[in-house]
This record gives sequence, structure tokens and C-alpha cells, in this order.
Amino acid sequence: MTSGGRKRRNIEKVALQIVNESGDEGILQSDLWKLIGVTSREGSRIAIRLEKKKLIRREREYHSKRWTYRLHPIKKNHPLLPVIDSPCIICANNSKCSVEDVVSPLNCRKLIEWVLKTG
Amino acid sequence: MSKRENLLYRLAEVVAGGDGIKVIKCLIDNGSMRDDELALALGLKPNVVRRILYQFAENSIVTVQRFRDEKTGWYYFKWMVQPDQVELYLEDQRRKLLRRLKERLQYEKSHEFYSCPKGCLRLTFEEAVEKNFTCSGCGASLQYDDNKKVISRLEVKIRELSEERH
Repeated sequence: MTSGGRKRRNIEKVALQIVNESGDEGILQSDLWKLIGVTSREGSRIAIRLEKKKLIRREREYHSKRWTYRLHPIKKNHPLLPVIDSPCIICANNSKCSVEDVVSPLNCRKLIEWVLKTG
Repeated sequence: MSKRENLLYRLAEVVAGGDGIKVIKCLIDNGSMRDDELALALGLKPNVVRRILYQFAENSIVTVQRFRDEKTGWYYFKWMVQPDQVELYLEDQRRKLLRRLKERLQYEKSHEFYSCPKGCLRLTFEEAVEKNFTCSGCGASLQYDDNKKVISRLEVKIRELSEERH
């Protein structure tokens, strides 16, 4: 990676951290580039790149007689969260459920209801 | 709140409801505690706290250590949260769930189903033949159950859980 590329990645990282820390309110794009010490053009490009990577969300906003964007963090849930919502976690038969047993996933109604509801 | 803490609280809520979250929060804030100390701090009955702690232990959310009182000789137990184990436990559950869903998908694909219109039961073609296509619960005649939707949703779920590997 060139030093320019590395520098760009670092600025992006800082920008992302600031957006993530902005919480539900988000942060104005015009405030962001002032905070990270880049020009408005570069600030806008960074925001677009982060949006393309699906790391932030941009919302158009009229502020101080100018159109700008408000940047919001995209909250990513823990990848194991869907497992917690499955019926197996609180099922009394969880430890003895298998195709060879009386309690089997082949005829479990709760399992299918969950799959149909969330799949 | 970190993602791991979020996971811990969500699991505590699913396993033991609102009181479960209170217990976890108290344990996180205080490190390790006896069940009677927890009950006193939270204003809950000791048997309720113990039941929650046993449920948590089954799901690897908490662990317990036994201590001996030098003066009385009595044993007492201290409970503590083990956030590292929660992810390992859920990863194990994810694998089990994935296996069950794959087995169910295979079963759905290789059978034809008939079900009671009142929702009493669902049988394979072979089982329905034995019952003369009549519901043993309410006597209604069994109807063909198109399981295309079940199959496609199972496939989506399996893909989703497979992708969520660390």
C-alpha cells in the first residue's frame, strides 16, 4: 500500500470512529471534515466511501442555509444474536433433541414457526 | 454497551426475563456475589434468585465457586458472570441449530405432507395412508400440505446461520 493510501485509510478510520460515537443524533458532514482536518471535498468523498462500504448512513439535511448530509452510524448486531432468538435456547428438550430421539427437529412445530416468522 | 455485553444481556433476558437482566447487571457491577447477597441487593426472593442463577448456569452465563467459612465450617457459594463462555456456548448452539435445520430441510424435501385443516397434526404421506387420511384428533379429512414455503425459508435460515460464522 502507498503512503497516500495508508493515510487515506487512517483518516477514514478516524471519521468512522467519530460517526460511531455520534450515537442516535448522528453528525453533520460539515462538522466532520472540520473535526478531522480535511477539506470539504475530501470530507464528502470520505463520507461517500464509508456509505458505499455500508459502514454509515447519509441523510440529506438543510443546515445554516446550505444543503449538507447528516451521517449516522450503522449498528451491526452481534452475529450470534439470531441464535438466542431461536426456540431451542429455552427449550426444555434442547439437550436431548436429535433425529434419533423421541424429541426430534423433524417434527418440532416451534422450530418451523420460528423459521417461517424470521426466515 | 459492547456487542458482547449486548449479547449477554439479551441471552439473560431470553432465559430469565427482566429479573435476569437485573441479576446480570448486579453481578457485573460487583464481581462475584452470594445468592442471598444478590437477593438482598435486588429486593427479590432468594428462591427466585437461585432459580435464575441455575438457569444461567445451564446456559453458561454464570459460574459458581464454593468457599468454606473457617469459623463455622459451612460452605457458601459465590456466583460470577463469565462473558467469555457465552460466545462459546452460543457458537455451540449455532452449530446444533444449523444441524437440526439441515436435517429438517432434508426431511421436508424427501417427504410429502398431509395436515389437519384445524391444525391438530401433520403427517407424511405414508402415515396419512395408515390413518386413512383422517385426523385422529378431530376426525376431519387431511389435506395436502404444500411445503414449498417451509423449504425456501429453511434454506434462507441455513444460509444466514452459515454465513454468521466467525
